[in-house]
Amino acid sequence: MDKAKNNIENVGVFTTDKALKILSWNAVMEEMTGLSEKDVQNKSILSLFPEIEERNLHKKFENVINNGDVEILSSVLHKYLIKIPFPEEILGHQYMLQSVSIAPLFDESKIVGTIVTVKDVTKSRLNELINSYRERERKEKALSKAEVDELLKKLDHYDWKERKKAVETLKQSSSDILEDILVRIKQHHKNLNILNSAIQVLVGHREKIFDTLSHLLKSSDKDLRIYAAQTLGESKDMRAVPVLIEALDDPDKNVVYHAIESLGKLKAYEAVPRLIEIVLQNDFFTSFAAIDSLRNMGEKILLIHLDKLIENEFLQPICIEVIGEFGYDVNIPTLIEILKLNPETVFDLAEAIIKMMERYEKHYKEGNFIISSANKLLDTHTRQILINNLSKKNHPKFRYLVQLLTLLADQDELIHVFNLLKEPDLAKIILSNFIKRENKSAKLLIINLDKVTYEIKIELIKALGILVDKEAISVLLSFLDNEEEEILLASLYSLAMIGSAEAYEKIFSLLGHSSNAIRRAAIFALNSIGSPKMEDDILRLLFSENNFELDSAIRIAGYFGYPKCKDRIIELCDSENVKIRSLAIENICFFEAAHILSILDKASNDPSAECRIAAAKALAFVPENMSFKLAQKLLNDENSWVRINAIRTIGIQRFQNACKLILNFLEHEETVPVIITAIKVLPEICSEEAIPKLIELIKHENEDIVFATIETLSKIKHPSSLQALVENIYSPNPKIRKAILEALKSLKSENMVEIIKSYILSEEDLELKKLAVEVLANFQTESSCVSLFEISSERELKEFVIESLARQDKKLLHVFREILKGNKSELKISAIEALTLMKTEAATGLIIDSLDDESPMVRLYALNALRILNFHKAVDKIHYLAMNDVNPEVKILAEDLLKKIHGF
Amino acid sequence: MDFKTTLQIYGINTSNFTLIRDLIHSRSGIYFEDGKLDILAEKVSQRLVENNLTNFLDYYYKLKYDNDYQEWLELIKLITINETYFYREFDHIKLLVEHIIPEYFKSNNFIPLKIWSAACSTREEPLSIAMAINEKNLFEKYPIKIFASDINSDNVEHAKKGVFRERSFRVLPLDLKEKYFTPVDKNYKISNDLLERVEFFIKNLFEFDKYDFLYMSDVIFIRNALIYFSDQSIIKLINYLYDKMPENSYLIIGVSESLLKYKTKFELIEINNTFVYKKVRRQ
Repeated sequence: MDKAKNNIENVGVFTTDKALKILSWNAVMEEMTGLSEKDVQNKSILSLFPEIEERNLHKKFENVINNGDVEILSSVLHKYLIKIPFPEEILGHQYMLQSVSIAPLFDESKIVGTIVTVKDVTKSRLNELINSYRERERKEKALSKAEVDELLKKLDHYDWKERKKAVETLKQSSSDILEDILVRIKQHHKNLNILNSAIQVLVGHREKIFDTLSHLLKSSDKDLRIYAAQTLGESKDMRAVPVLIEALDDPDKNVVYHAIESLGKLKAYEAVPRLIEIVLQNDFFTSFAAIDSLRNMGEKILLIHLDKLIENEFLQPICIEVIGEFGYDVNIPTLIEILKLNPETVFDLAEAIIKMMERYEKHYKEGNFIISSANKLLDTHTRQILINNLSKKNHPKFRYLVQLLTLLADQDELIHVFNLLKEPDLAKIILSNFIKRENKSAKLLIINLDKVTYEIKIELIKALGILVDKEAISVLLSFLDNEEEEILLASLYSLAMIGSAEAYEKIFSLLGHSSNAIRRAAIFALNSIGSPKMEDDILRLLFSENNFELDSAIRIAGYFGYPKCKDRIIELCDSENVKIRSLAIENICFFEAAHILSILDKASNDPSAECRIAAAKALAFVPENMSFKLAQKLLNDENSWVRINAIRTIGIQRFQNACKLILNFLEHEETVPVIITAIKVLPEICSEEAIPKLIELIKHENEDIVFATIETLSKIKHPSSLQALVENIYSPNPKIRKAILEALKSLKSENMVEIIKSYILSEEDLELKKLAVEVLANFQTESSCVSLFEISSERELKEFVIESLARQDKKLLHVFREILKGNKSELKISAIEALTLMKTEAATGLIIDSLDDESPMVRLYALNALRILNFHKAVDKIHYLAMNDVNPEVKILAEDLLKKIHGF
Repeated sequence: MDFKTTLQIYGINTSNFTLIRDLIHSRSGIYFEDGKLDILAEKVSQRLVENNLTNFLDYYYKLKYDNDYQEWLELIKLITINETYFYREFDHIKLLVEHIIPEYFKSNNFIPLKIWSAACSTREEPLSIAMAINEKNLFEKYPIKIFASDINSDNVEHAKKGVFRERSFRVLPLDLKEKYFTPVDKNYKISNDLLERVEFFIKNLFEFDKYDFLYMSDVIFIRNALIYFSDQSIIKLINYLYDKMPENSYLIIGVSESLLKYKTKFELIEINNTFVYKKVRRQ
């Protein structure tokens, strides 16, 4: 070939004969590889570049030679043909990216070899990336003065779509338009369109506009002050807090209202004392906003003041909501008090109690305690209010009332609730809560079976099983004659749950049912009921000519390992029916038979893949020394599911040398699910020797493989596997970040604390942030606990971090003690809130200690916490505070608590 | 049956289920919201059992990497199975009687409103429509015609008898069941008055010439049927419908279906949280 000709466009070209020995090799190839034509001539391409075969790319050559096809390898999919490493990784690529074509080389009409072109496309791929970046930059900066003017004019367009378009473009432009925007606000602030659009643009440039807005907050024009207060709340800029607190003294109520709202959005804890003051002024307009803001902050101190507000009819609903969201059982009397004052609040009350119950269940597993507390406090009059409201089905919170009554009604009251079973949506709520009651019987459900829709009837039948009430057996048995599959299934399930022996014969007769689902449900029921005669019955069934019966009988015989059935199962391993044969093979391992291995060996040559899969599965339960070779053989089966099951068996058996075997296997396996199975089995059979391969696989282009690798790395508990995970924690792909965090949850490593902490601070996705907090909380070490306290000041995470702190081990309580001794009130309050959730005696002791704290806020929190804890040990201290505290709020709350003590 | 019960019976491990939901969504456009995951899992678990698998992850890999077109077809058939029952996806019918019919008769006093329930299978849909209209006494007030068709002649014969099994009453309120049906053996027969409100035809949706007046209906229901057609056929069908249907008419498809990817000329509108397609007059 003419070398000069081949150099066109810098394409590497080489030719091979049919044995893949190199015939020619152009200069570009020489340059790319550093190998001269002389070096390579007459050598096989496969021996020069062994990874071609490892990556199965030699099959492409074979296809070209055998079929005359042209094969194309793309730089996106295959990356490269000839592995040429870069001096350093470039944009995630270690090797030159190539676009390759392999075409047949003809001599007249005969194929004599291949002609291969290799084009280095790394540069063009890089250029693509760089160009897209530049394009983005260009878009950001390219607005000309004229364009900006045009867009600013559009802020006053009559069509909101046009305004929106302009706003969006201006948001993306550079920030030197801010001045123009401000001028426009000054000129046109009476025009709401311009004002709104302009403010949106300003918010888009939020870093630059804080000064402007705080200036506007002092303008003489109240509209401007309102908009400034509102916008600062949206800005997420904490510098706004002091100016907004100042605005709480604004002469205009609307400005105050928006300042309150914005402080709530910013979760400005510094503003809490002022907001509480506003709450207590009892002016509906501002009190309501202040309560709402404090609620947004999760500010539990609000609870102390609710009793003073409940007489204000307009504030009642929001007070009830606050109690529901973070109140304690001690607040239930307040709820009932409001109900007596205003029966209209019945639905809000129901919602609050249900939410409180869910919260208690989540934190303390004490949901029932809330229900029984409420039950004790409701008198005949208030109970009647609840029942009477069962007629108001269209109320948006009706479901809470139904839920509450289902949980706490007595038997007579329950009849009113059960009348609602006709309504499908309510019926589901009623049933799911009814089974949670302490006092429940099947009778009420049975009499309603004919009064409900078909779908609810099925739910009722299942609920009968969950109640495990023998009274239900006869009605369930009668349903076994029903023609509807779903009713039959539900009845079988419930009979299994109740474990009724009298159902045995009838269920047994269903083992030959034509529906797979019903047969499986019957097997499930029989396995749970059992019967002394079942072994003989099953043996008889194993000779049935009905394949459905046979199928069921093999499954049950295998489940119990009935010795009498062994010989027949062995016979069935030769059945002509593939389904029966494979099922028998899969179950044979549950019997003690000397020649199991020869049966499985034979099965490994079965023409049906189903039988070979069964053999691979069964092998997991055959004594180890006998089965290794067979497992190796099945590992090379042509069917991927046989290979998958062979790998799993190797994992269960943990054969000697299994690690090496699977690592080698991974070098040439190409089917994704098989690769994944092999990766997942590694922790069972390997220790750190698997890590280099896993580090390679974590960069794999297939996400499923990457996820499996991450999971496996977390299971091989070794410093370098940990490091491999941590190195990828900043992956641009959030799914990978999530998978890594999930994996790290199971690990504890002291030196990861700082890494996770800084990750939490830099991650933008709130869900991932929370996941990382969980990781940190799981470490349960001194430094992780301290770090949790440090991030508890992250406003959006506060609630979640406190819950995590509450789950810290009791051996870490000294960290809490240190925090409470420190000088940061905010951290101390977090500690008290977490200790309150812990509810242990030692935790309560720490809270009692902080009654002496110098900050009145901390003392208030501690007192409030004691309202739901055992505070008898603190009586003297509380007494002291009630008499002497300089802070009036602390005094009042202490007096309240004392009243409660005297009540005892 | 709910899926937890089913899985317990089948001994299936529940984790990783959402992967399958997302795969079905990306490949077929059918999306099961979190609230409906139970229904999907219950159905998918049937395929696991048929494939002798015991966890969803294996089935996910099988669907994603085995290139087993047959399995994919079986799954789609199962999850879209035309399980019709009275008052299924009732929000659409509610919208019809509370909004569409009154709106229509604001401007048309004498011209009957024509409703076509296409691909109606065993007729629960058109009969539910008739029932809901009757419940609001609209037959007495307005001239309304209900047409129904299905390609399967068995379905049509079955429906003409008006006898239904218990599972057709999955969600129908009990008082309506008692009002319109009488028990016959283990089944239920619908009242003749209601049956006569619906005119039945055997018809293939793509034989455009046959009973062509149906395409000119004011409200057309084609719910949970599009999944059986190729993209090309769907485009052909909706374009034909758009040409034939009168202005301000409504096309109603299943709640888990969407026409968005076909770039239809119908406008997607939302009324009371329910989505329908409307042929709106072009400016």
